[in-house]
Amino acid sequence: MFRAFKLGDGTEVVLRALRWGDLDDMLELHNELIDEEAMIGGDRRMTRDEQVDRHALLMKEVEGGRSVVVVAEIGGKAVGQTNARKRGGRQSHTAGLGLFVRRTWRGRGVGSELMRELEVQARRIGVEVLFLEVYSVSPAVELYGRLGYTEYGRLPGGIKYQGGYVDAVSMYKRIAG
Amino acid sequence: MKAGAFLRRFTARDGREVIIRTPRWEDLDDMLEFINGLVDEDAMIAADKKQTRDSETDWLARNLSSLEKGVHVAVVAEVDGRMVGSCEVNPRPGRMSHVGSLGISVKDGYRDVGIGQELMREAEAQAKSLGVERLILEVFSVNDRAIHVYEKIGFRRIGAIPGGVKYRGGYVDSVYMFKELHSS
Repeated sequence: MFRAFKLGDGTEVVLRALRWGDLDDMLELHNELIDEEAMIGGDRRMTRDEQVDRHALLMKEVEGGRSVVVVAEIGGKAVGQTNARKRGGRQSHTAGLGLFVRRTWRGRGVGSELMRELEVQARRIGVEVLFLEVYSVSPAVELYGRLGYTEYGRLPGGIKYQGGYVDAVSMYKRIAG
Repeated sequence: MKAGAFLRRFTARDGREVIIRTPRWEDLDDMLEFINGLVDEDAMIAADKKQTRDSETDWLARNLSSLEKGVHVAVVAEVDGRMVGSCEVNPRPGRMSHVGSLGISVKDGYRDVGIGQELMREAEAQAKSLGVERLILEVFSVNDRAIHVYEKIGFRRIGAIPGGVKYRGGYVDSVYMFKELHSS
């Protein structure tokens, strides 16, 4: 466990490392995001078998110090996660991150706490720069800005979403070094 | 595309005959020598460690599988029977699958004669047929020669991660460039 905090309504949230046993919660989280057409990179549901492979790979990467994952747990259930994966070679001090929170728990501070903890954990594996990509129309742009991320690039029409194109905004934050 | 498919031939600016084709299994040893040569000369690429024959074998197996399945683009340049340059386009997953990430490298001694440009032109044409509408690439901010070539063939800078690359004991920026592909 990394730490715990309370939401405005008193709900306790535990921030902790990823476990093998998070497999099914992670599958549920992913497929819920797909069903609601959330602004994430993925665009199709995963089968349990696909998730098993993805989960195994992620567990392996965490074990090897190439990735970090922070899970938010409420009432024994994983309701969100953020992860960062180090790039290779001369870019291995930089890591690309993703943030995923179940719909009912959004807008209540879970995401920003996950991101804060991710910085702490990422530093432990030698990450100096975190970067991310976000839909230009996503409310998360504002969240990342508040957390200290700066826009460093924008890919015009980089994302196909709901029949149209939106820009992919790239943001980064220097967390060490 | 199939592995080892001939695409075309041209004469480089220094007079050498160059064949552009897709990679094939027999390129393995040339590829290993090629990538390790780039690492040795401290070339401005992400890789900074030598490959073993095993790791290069894994890489080539993945590369040729993706080629045969038609999920990525790979073209190489051959001079006098040896592979001297390579270009790949990998479509991004999910909602960014219309965006292809391009990587290119040319062997020392074969640069500045138009081989890189021809590889990129061919990769671009192939990428279009895979449904790629936009190409992106990353380049070290101090790689003026490459940036110049990318601009010449229509890429423009869309951003940079300050200090995104560690190179020769210091930090340089990782520059992102982009090109929109128009359906001809």
